[in-house]
Amino acid sequence: MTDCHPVEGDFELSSRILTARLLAATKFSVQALPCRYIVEVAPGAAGMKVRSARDLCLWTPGGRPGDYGPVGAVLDSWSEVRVAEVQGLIQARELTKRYGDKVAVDHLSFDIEPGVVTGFLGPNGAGKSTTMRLITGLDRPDDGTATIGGLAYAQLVKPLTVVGAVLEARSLHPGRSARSHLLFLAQTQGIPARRVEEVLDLVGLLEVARKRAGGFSLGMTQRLGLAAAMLGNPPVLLLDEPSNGLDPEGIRWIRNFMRQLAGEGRTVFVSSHLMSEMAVTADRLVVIGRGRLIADCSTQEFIQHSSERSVLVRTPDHERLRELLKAEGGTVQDGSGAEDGAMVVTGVPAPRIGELAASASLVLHELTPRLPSLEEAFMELTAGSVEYGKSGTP
Amino acid sequence: MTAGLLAAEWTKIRSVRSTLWSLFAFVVLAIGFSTLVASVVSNDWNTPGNHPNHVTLVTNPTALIFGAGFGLGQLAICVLGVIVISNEYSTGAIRASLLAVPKRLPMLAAKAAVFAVIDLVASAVTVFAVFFISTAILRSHVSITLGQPGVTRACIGAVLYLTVLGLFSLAIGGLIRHMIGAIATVIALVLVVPPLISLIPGTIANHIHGYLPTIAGELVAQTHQQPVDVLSPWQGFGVFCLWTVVLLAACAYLLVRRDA
Repeated sequence: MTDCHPVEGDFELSSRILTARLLAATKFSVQALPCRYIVEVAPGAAGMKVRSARDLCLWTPGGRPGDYGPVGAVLDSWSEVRVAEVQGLIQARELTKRYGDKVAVDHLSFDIEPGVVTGFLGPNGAGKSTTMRLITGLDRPDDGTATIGGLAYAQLVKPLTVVGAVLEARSLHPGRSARSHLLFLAQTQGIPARRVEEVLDLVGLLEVARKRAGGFSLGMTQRLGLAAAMLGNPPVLLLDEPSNGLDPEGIRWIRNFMRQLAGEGRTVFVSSHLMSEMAVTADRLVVIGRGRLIADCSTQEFIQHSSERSVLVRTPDHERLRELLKAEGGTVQDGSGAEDGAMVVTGVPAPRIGELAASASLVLHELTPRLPSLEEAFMELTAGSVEYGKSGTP
Repeated sequence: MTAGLLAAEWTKIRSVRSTLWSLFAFVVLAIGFSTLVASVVSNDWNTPGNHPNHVTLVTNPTALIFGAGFGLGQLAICVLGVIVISNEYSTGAIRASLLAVPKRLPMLAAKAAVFAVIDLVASAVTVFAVFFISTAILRSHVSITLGQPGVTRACIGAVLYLTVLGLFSLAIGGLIRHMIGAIATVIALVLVVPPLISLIPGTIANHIHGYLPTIAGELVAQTHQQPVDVLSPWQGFGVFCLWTVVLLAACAYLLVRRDA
C-alpha cells in the first residue's frame, strides 16, 4: 500500500473496476466494500467521476491507509487523485509475447482481484501458460507489463512470500526428495525449515516427504507444487491447470482449497481448459483465445450472456404438456431419462411453463431453469479462436 | 547473494545423487589411478623401458604423480560442473529456482560459490592424498617432498586448476543448458581439441594449443616450466581463469536474457 501513483487527467484502471475522470463538480459515491483500490483524495477544485465504484474505498486526507470511507459516502471536490494498488492485485497491460513469428500472447490486459477465484480459460494453445510465465518473469514479454501489487515479479524481494505459483508439474528434480525440494526453496526466502513440514502436512505429503519426487504420481506432484506455492503463505496464487492428472477426489480437494484461499482474501488465478471445472470453481473469468482477450466478467455473466436459457421439465403427462408448449411456440427435446417424462424446453420461460401446466391441471415433478453450460458458452465465444480449427483441414 | 541463497544451493547439490556420485567418482578415480601408476612405476623400477619415468620424476615429479589419476578424475569434475546447473534445466527445477530468485544472477553467483567451495575442498583433499600416497610408494626409489622447488606450488596449482575447471564446466553447462550437449562440449574441449590442434605444424598452432583453456590451466600443476610450454605456470593459470571468467560472464548474461 506504500506505492502511490499520482494520476492526472483521465485515467482508467480497469474498465471493470474503476473508471475515473477528473471533472469539475462531479459527485462520487462509494458503494461497496471491501476495497480493491485505495483512493487518496486531496481537497481542491476538480472532481472525479467513478462509473463503477463496486470495489472502491476511500482514503481521505488526514486519514490513514486502511481507513476506509463509509459505504455510500459522497465527496464532491478534489484536485488530485492518487491510486495505490492493494497488495495482491495482478495487472496485465498490453502483454505481448512472440515465439518466432507466432504470437502467443497478443496485447492482453486484465486485472485479477483479491478475494475471489478467477478462472483463466482458453483452449489449449491459447496462451494461458505463456501468460502465467510472463506474470512470474520466467519469460520476458516482447511488449507490455505484468505487475503484482504494482511491482514486476522480478522486483519482489521475497517473491515466494508474495506469489505462490504452480506452473508446470515438472518443475522439480525427480531425484530430490519432496522435503529437500521445499527446503531449498524455503532457504532462498529465509523461511524457517519448520514451515516445510507445515506445508507438507497441509497437502498431505508428510509421510512421503523423504521419498524421491520422481516416484510421485501426477496427483502427488501437483500437491507438492501446491506445497511449494504455499511455503511463503502468499497473498497471491497462480495455478496453471492444477487439476490435471488428479482423480475426482483430488479435484474436489483442490477446488475447496482454492475457494478457501480466496475466502481468506487471497488472489487466486487459476487456468484451465475445462469449462465444467471452472463453472463450479471460479467467481470470475478471464477468457482468451489465440492470445487475445475474449471475455473478462463474472462466471454468471459469462454464462447468461452467451446462450439461450432452457428449462428442464419432468412430468407424467408428457404428451399433453408437449403439445401445450408447442402451441406456445416452444421447442421441446427429450432430456435424459425420457422414459419418466423429462424434456428440455427452450423458448418458453419456466414461470410460463408452470402456468400452462396449472391451467391444464397437469402434474409437474420438476421444473428447473437451466443455465447453458459454461462449456457451451465457451464454445460459442471462442469459435474461431481455436489454434488449430477444423476449418484449416482440407 | 545471501546466506539463504548459499544454503539453498548447498541443499540442491547435496540432495541429488548425480552430484554426489560425480564427486565420489572424482575422488576414487583420482586416488585409484594415481596409486596404480605409482605402484606400477615403483614395481617396474628396474625394467629397461621405465627410464623416461625416472627422468620425469626428477624434472617434473608432480606431472607423473598427478598425470593419470587427475587426467581421468578431472572428467568427473567436468561432469559435476555441468550437471550442477544443467540438471535444473533438464528436469524443470530451474522454474522453481527462478520463481524463488527472479533476479537470477544471485542464484548463479550462489551456485558458483557453493560449487567452487565443494570443488576446492574435494580437490585439496584428493590432491594431497594422491601426493602423499604416491610419494610414499615411490620413496624407496626417489624422494619427493613438498619442500623441493615448485612442488608445493604444483600441488596447490592442481587444487586451483580443478576448482577453476569445475567453474569452467559450470559456465558451459549454463550456456548450453542441455546436459548431454554440455558434457560432450566440455569433454571435447578438454580431451579432443588439444591433441587435434597439436597435430597442426607451425608456431602459430603451437601458440593456439598453449592458450587452450585446460592446456594453459594444467601448467600450474607442473613442478617446472617445460621447454615446450608457451606459458609459465601462473601465466597459464591466468589464461585459464580468463577463459572461465569470460564464459561465466556469457552464462550470466544469457541467464538473465533468455526465457527460462
